[in-house]
Amino acid sequence: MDYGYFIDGLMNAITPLNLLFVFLGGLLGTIVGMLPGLGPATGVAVLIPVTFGMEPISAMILLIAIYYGAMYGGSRSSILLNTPGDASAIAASFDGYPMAKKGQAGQALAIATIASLVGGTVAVIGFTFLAGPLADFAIRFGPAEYFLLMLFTLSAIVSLSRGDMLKGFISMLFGLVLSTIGVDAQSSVYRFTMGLPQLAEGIDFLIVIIGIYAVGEVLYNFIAINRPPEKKNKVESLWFTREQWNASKLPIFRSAPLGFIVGVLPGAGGSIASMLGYTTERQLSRTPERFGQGTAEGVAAPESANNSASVGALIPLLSMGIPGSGTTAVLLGALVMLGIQPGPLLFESEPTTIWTLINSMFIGNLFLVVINILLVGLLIKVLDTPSNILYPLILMLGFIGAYTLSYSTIDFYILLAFGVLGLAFKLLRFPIAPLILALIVGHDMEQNFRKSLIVSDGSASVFFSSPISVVLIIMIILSISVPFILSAVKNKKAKQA
Amino acid sequence: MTVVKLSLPAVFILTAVGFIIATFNLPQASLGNAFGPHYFPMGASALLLLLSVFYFIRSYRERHEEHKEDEDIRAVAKGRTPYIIGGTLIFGVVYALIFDFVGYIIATLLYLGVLMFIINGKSKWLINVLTTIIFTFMSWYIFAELLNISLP
Amino acid sequence: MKRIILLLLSIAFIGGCSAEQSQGEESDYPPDLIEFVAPATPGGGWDLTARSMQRALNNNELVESDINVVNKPGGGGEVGFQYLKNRDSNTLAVNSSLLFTNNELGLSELSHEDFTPLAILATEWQSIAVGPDSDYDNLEAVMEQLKKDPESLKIGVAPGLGNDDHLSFIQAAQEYGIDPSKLDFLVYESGGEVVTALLGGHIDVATMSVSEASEQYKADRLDIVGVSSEERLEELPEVPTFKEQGVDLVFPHWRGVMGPPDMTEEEIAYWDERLQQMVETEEWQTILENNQWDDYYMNAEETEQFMDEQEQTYQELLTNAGLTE
Repeated sequence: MDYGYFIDGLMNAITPLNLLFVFLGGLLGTIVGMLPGLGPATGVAVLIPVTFGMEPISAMILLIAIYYGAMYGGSRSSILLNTPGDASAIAASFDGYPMAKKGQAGQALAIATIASLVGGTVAVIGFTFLAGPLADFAIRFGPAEYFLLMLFTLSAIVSLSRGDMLKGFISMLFGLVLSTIGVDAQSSVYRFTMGLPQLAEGIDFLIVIIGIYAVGEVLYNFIAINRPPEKKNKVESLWFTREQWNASKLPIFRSAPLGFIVGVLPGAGGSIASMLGYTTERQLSRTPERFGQGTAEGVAAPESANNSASVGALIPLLSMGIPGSGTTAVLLGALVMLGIQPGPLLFESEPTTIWTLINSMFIGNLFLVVINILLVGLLIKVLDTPSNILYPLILMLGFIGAYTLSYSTIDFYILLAFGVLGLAFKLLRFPIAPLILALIVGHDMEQNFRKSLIVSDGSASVFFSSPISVVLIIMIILSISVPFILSAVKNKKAKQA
Repeated sequence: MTVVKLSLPAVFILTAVGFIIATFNLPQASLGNAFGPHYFPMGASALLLLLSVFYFIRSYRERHEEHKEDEDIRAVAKGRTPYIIGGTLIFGVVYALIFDFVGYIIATLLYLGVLMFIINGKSKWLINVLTTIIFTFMSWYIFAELLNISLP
Repeated sequence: MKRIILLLLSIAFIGGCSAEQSQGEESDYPPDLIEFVAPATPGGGWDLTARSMQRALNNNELVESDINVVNKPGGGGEVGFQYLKNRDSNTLAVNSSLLFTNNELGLSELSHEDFTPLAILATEWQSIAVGPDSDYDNLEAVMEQLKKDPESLKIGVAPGLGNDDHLSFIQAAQEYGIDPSKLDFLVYESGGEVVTALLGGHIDVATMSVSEASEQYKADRLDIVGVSSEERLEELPEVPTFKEQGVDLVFPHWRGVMGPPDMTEEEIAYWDERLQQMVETEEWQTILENNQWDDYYMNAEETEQFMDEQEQTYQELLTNAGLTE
């Protein structure tokens, strides 16, 4: 590490103008992240024209601040309203929303913010020292390894629905079946599109998220609208307790590196990272039954993982010029337009640019904590809005969010259909996360499976041929069997007692 | 009650059967393995069919048992709830139909306005009208003007 | 038009404000608001082309109307093209060879004859790349091996079959006397993933646009064995062309712009003039350079002729690739 460049970068990052851009980007990102359907990709895309006249470095700072700012914002609506704005924010709703219902919304938002800060900061440090080796590690993931990683994610998420595994499996399979809609890349065969060009690339999982979570949640809440209003739990406090921090400390620091590594893998991204962060902590916890009931570490772990994954995803983008997700692809396009060509040469030819960016990310994370802590008090007010006004508005935001994804009213029908499905899932207590995750990874999982077999000319040995594969297979077996073993042990103990 | 509980697995079963039939009708791939595009949807829908039939039978057998979710399901049919949910969906479809023709602002004014009246009744008309107008124009301003997202 | 009505309505609703854009009747071409359709999501080549045009036209005051870029992704451009077909002449769309291939593959009813061609703006060139330690370090070696056993090398391509990345390789192989329908292609989601797979040794050969390969090439992490241009490229002077290596093929990956059907003579003339000025601006030249595109400007008349020729070529290519009968 060359300290000269570090100092240069720091000096660049703390010019008043660049500080202002970090702040504005972070604020805008937080807001965009909170709205359903509007994610970092849209946020970055709409600001591209604004950056035309700017210094390339300032523009890059601004755009990347929007990107990680949106990760902070994403969990806000998950916690307060059970309506995640993006796939990577789903896991935060598992415990965040129950916490809010218990009157601990303030604590949940605060712990999520601190977890995001730690996740983001650990990842920036990792970025500083490990960008090169990690990029080399990531390219060793071939089709077989990706297939196994996705299988592992699915098995981890199904194992969450321990109460009723059957429901979990059905939910996942339904998602997998839906994920086959659209063009099959390996053969160019169009599957189940019913002649609609809008379906050629499959059903956008963001529409499904908005439909099931936002619309479904609104419909579900209409049930309660006739009942005498429940006694609202008063918001206890805006800051978490010492016990909550002690319980969350380890999960936060464990999830950060996990999320970071998942983030570095192209195509994996924040949704897989946050789910794995959550499931890992639940497996490791001594009191797993508290997960899902509103426990602080259940919010902290996925948020930490998610934020560090978002920084991790910048490694393949900047060091290899390879975008690992839709959002980083938009970023790549924007950077190229600004005349910054990400790639291995960027680190050698423009070290100051990289160091400016790294330093601005440190500063940006600190800004975001301040912004988000200040917003906590304001956001809690959302809960005071009478539900007969709040829910119709969420519904409308869902419609706008869906429209901005592909500018087509066909998505409105899909949105409504999944809203009804979401209502039915909630009524019959079916888990929703396996469906969404299967829909997100299903397509890639199939394609990678098929590519593996093309590479090996049809031999299944390709799935056992690398150390990474073997580790993943062991993890898959463990994640499925551990819950069964644990419950068997518990039953035995119960009988003995 | 039983009907509601069985309808979701029924949807799963129909979906699975639908996809299995559609998979049989897929064209063969002209490149590589001719049935490459078929295996995965076939496997996933067959498994889905199997498990949902199993679940369907289980729900049917347990139909007289009392579950903790039952109260919620009964509430769907109670009071004004069916009208509110039905209204939201029916007018949602109308919204989708008119959106491209009359544009964002008019469609949203109508839809949100109707919704607010269905939910809150006529007595709170002032709040309904105000919420509708303020939300419509604010959201339009934020999305179309500040964020430059084209709304019709 | 619709926007103006909306604006008026909204102003009327809020009340009291004076309406500035109150032209109810059609003013002369160009209208106050022009729409550029990018039939893809933000971040892709089409989106980039549309936004670059927006930038070069507005910043140089060549077009004074407001230009809006509208993303209409789906079906390899189909959604956007369908949209354009039903618009009037204030809407234009960027296009590329997918306009023909979708039609040939039976995915679309539309062809270039359903639109008004306005210009070809720029082109990228195709490249064929191998890993840094590959046994096949020139195009002839790759092709010889494929001739011996077409399935022996795994070829990476993105994001779908029937695009220029895929078809340029098909045509090159065919020029070399290989049956292209026997080749093993691995289809990835994006050009970036193809590069990753090549670096990780998961595929043997990759076909992509030059800009996607050149950064890694300059860092010596992969080897470009040939480019599809007529002459060697300025930024990669040491990379031979296909032609130099016994594969008689020049393959542009062009991007153009077109309007809805039935545009008037004056409207076409308007764009001919403005676009010709645009491609000469410094701003546009910088954009070309940043994206490693080459100038490939053709006016409306030349474009129409070029489109007819291209349609023929693509028809044959798809048949030979085994994608159509």
